[in-house]
Amino acid sequence: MAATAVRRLAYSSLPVLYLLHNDLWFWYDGSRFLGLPIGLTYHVLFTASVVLAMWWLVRSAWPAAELDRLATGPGSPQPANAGEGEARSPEGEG
Amino acid sequence: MTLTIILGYLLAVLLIGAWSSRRLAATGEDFFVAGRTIGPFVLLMTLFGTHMTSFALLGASAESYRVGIGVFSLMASSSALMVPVVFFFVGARVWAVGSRLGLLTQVQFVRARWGSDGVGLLLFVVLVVLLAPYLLIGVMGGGITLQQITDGAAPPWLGSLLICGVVIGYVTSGGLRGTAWVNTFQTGMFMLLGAVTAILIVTKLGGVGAALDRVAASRPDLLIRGDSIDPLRLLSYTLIPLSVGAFPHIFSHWLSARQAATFKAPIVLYPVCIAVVWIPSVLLGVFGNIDFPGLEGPASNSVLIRMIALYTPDLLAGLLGAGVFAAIMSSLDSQSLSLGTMFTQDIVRHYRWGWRTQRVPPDSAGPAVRRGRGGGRLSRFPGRRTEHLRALGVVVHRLCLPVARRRRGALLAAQHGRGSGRRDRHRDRPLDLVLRSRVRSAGLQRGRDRRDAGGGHLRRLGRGAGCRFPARQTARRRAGSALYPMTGADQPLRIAYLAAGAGGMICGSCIHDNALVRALQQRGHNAVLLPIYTPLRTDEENVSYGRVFYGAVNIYLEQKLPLWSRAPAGLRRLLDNPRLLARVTRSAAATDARELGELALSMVRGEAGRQLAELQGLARWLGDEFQPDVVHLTNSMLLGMVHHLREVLPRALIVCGLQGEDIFLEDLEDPHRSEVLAEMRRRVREVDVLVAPNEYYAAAMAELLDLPLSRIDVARLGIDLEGHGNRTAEPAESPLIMGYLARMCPEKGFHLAAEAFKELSDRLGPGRVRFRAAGYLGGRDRVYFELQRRRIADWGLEPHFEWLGEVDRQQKIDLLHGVHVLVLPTVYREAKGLPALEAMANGVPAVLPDHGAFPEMLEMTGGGTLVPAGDVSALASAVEELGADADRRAQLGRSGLQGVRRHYTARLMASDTLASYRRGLRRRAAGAAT
Repeated sequence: MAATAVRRLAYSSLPVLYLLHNDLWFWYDGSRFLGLPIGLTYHVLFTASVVLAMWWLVRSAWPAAELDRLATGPGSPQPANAGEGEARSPEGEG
Repeated sequence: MTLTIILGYLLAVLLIGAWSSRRLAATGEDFFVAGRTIGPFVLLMTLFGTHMTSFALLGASAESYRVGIGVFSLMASSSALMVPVVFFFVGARVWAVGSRLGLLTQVQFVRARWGSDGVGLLLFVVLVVLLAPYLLIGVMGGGITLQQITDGAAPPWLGSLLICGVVIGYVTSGGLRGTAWVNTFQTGMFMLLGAVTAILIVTKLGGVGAALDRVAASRPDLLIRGDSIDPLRLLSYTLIPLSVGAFPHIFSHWLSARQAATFKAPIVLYPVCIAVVWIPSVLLGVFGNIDFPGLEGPASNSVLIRMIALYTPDLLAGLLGAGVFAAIMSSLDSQSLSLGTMFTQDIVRHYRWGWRTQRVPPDSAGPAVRRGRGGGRLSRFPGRRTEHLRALGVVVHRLCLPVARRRRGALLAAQHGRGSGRRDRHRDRPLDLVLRSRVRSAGLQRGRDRRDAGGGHLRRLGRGAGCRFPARQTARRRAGSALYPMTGADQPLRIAYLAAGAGGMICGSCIHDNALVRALQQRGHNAVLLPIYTPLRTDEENVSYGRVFYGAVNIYLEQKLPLWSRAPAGLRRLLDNPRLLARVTRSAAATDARELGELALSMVRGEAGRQLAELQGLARWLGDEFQPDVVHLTNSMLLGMVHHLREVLPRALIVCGLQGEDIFLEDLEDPHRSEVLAEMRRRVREVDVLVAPNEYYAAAMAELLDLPLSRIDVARLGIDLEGHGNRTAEPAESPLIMGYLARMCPEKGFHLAAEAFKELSDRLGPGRVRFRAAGYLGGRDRVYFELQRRRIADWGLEPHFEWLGEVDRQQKIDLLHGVHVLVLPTVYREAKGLPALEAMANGVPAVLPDHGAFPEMLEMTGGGTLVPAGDVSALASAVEELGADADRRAQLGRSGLQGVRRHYTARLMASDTLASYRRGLRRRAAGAAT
C-alpha cells in the first residue's frame, strides 16, 4: 500500500477511536469480562488500542518533512534535518 | 513513621534538584526549557506527572467511590486518546517553531506571530489568572494530605509550607531540567506506589472478583455507568483534554524536548501511563464502598487514605503519602516554574525592567545554534544557499498572496517581492475620502465633462467621486482620419495602466506604477491606474482607480471552482469590493507552490484559462468606458490578457512592463514553471512594446523570454523628488549611523545588514556604531525579523539598534537625513532598488551589492559604492571607510543627488515611457499603412 494511503488510514483511525470511545452499548451492562465489569474492561482495551493507534501514527504518519520545514522556516539557517537534532557545524550554516 | 518517610522523600527530591543544578548553564534558555535537551523518557514522565495532578490518585478514587467505574471512561480513556493527539498535532509543531525562534512561552509565540504587545499582555494576564488557582489547590492539598496521613498531628499549614519550600528549592536550583528530573522520579513513585497499594488492598479484600462481588451486592450501580453519567456528558468530557496544550507548564515541557522525534515516546506511551495510574485508583475508589459506605461530601475525598490506613502497614502508608505528595508536587513545580518563566520573559525581559543593556552569553544565542552543536553563532540566513532558495520571505509572499488567510488569491505577489517600506498615507482614512482625494489630485475633470466621458456608465458605477476621465478627445478623433492618429508628440494619450496590488503590502512596483501614472497625468495625458487583484498601497499620493479588476477572491474561486465564473455578476462584483479585498488580503498566508503554479499558468493562458470571466469583464470595461489608446500591463505575468485585449481593442497599443517576473518564475516548480514560461514566450510576441526599468533587467528578460534585446525599451526608473534633497547637514560624526530602508525580509538582506552592524561594532567598539532600520514588515516575515532582532540582542547591540517600523514618506525622509550611509544588501538580483535612489536623492551614499540593477545605477549616479553580493565583511568595510571619510561621503552624496536628478526622476521616467508609446504607435501605424 502506498505510503500516502497508509498515512491517511492512520489518520482516519483517530475519528474512529473517538466514536468508539462513546460506547453506548455497555451503558447498563453489569456483566464481567476478563474479571472486570465490562464497561471498565472495554475502556481498558480501548486504551490499549489507542496505544497501538498512536504507535501506528508515529510510525507511518510522522510529519517529519513538515516539522523540518517549521524548524527551518523563514529566517532560519538550519539544514533540513535540524528538526531531528542532528549536529550541524557553524560552517554549514551559511 | 509516616512523617519520617515523607520527610525523607522530600529530602530525596531536593537532592535530585540540587544534582540537576550541576548541569545548569548560565542562560535563560537552559534554566527555563533545559536548553531543549530533554529526552523521550524524561519528557514522557514529566509531561504525565505534570498533567496528572494529585487528582489522579485522590480525586479519581473519590469520584469513583461516588460514581463508579464510569469515571475511567469519563476522565482516563478520553485523556488517553486526546492528549497524545494534541501532542502529535500541536506539541511537536510548537516545539519546532519554538526551537527555531528561541521562544520560551505562549505569550512569546503570540507576540511573534501577531506582533501585538497588547494581545501578549492580555494572554499573560489570562494565563496567570487561570493558573493561580491550580497552584493554590496544590499547596492546600499538600497541607490537607499531611494532616490526614498524620491523623491531624501535622496542621495543614505545615504541609503547605513544606511543599512550598521543597518545590521552590528544587525549581530555583535546577530550573526546568531539575523539575523534569524530579518529576520523572515523582511520577515513577506515584505510579509504582499506587500499583503496590492497589495490589495490597485488593489482596486483603480477597481479590478483584471477590471485591467486585461485595460491591455488586450493595452498590451494583457502581459497576455500570447507568444514570450517573449520561452519554452527552461522556461526549463532552472527551473534549476537555484538548486543552492540555493551553497549560503553560505543559507548553514549557513541550519546548524542552531535544528534538521533534522526542515526542514519539510520549505520544505512544501516554495511554499506558494513564492506565497504570487510573485503573487502580478507580477500582480502589469503588472498593471503598465495602468498608466505608455512605461517605458524603468532603469525607468521600479521603476514601483512599482511609483504606490505606485500614489495610496497609505504616511503612506503606508513609510511602503512599509520599506518593500523594509527589503527585501534588509534580504539577506544582512545573506550574511555579512556568509562572516564573512567563513573568521573567514576558514582563521583565520584554519590558526591559532593570537590565536594558544586559548581554546574553554567546552560547545562549538561540536554540538554532545551541541544539546539538556546542554553541557558535547564528548563521546568516539565507546566506550562500539563497541563490537558489531565494529568500523564503519572497517565496512565501508570492506563494501567498493577498487573499490569503484562507488561501484565496495567490498570483498577485508575483511582482511584489521588492519594495521599500512605505505605507499609504491614506490608510487610516475612509476609502471614499481616499478616492475623492485621488480624483481631485489627479486633475481629472468633473461636471460637464462627465457627459463626454460616458457619464451614464460612470453614474451607474456610482463611485460618487465625479468623473474619473477627462473628456474623450472626440473632436480630435473625428478629425483624425488615419487609423492610428495618436502618433504625434503633442497629442494627449488615453492610457490604461494595469497595476497589480499586493494586498496589505506596500511594494516598489506599486510605487513605481503610481509615480509613473501621476507623471503621465501631470504631462496632460489621460492616464488611469487600474488596480489588479487588490487595491494599491503607496506612500505617495495614490492615484489609482476605485475599482479593482481581477479581484483576488474571484480569481482564486475561479481557479478552485470553475463554475464560479458563472456566478451572478453582482455577486462577483461584491467580492471585488476594494474594502473587502483590502481587509481579506491584509495578512498573507502560504499557498503551496503547486497551487500557485496552477494559478499562474491559468492566468497567463488568458482566454484559455479559468479567469476568462475576469478578462472579459476588464476588456468590456476598457472598451465601453475608457477606450484607451494605450494599455500598459505592469509586468509580463499579465501577458495572458494580451490576445483578448487585442481582439476587443484592436486599435490600442499594448505595452508590457517588465519588473520582477524573473524571481517569481524561479520560485515556481516544474512543470508549471516551464509551462508558464513557454506561454509567456508565445504571448509576448503579440505585445507591441516592452519596457524595462534599466539595461540590466532588459537584458535579463530578453534572455528569459527568448527575445532580441532590441525588442525591449528602457524607461529608466524614476522617483518623485518632492520632499527629497533637503538635507542640510549630516548627523554628528560619531557614532557612525548605518541605515536600512526596505522591506524587512530575507531577500532584501536585512540579516546581512545586521551582521555588518555587528562586525562594525566589533571593529569600532560598542556604541560607536548605530543601526537604524525601517520598512514594511509582513506577517510572514515576522518570524524572520524576530530572529534577526534576537540575534542583535544576543550580540548585546540592542541599545544601538533602532527599528522604526513601517514609515510614511516624511518619516522615510527623516530617516535618510539621520544616517551617514544606507545599505541595501539584497541577496537576489534587484530589478529596481528604489530605496537606494531615495537615499541618493537625499545626499546619502549607498553601499550596494554588485548585482542586479545596482552597478548600472551607481554608474549613472556615482552615489555610492559596490561590494561583492553576500560579503558581510566587505559590506562592513565599505561602511567603515565611508564612516571615516566625511569628504568622500559628501562627494558621493552630491554625485548621487545630481545623478538622481539627472537620470532618475518620475518625469524622466514618464518621458521615456511616452517615447516608447510613440515609437510603438508609429510602428503600428506604419505596419497598418503597408
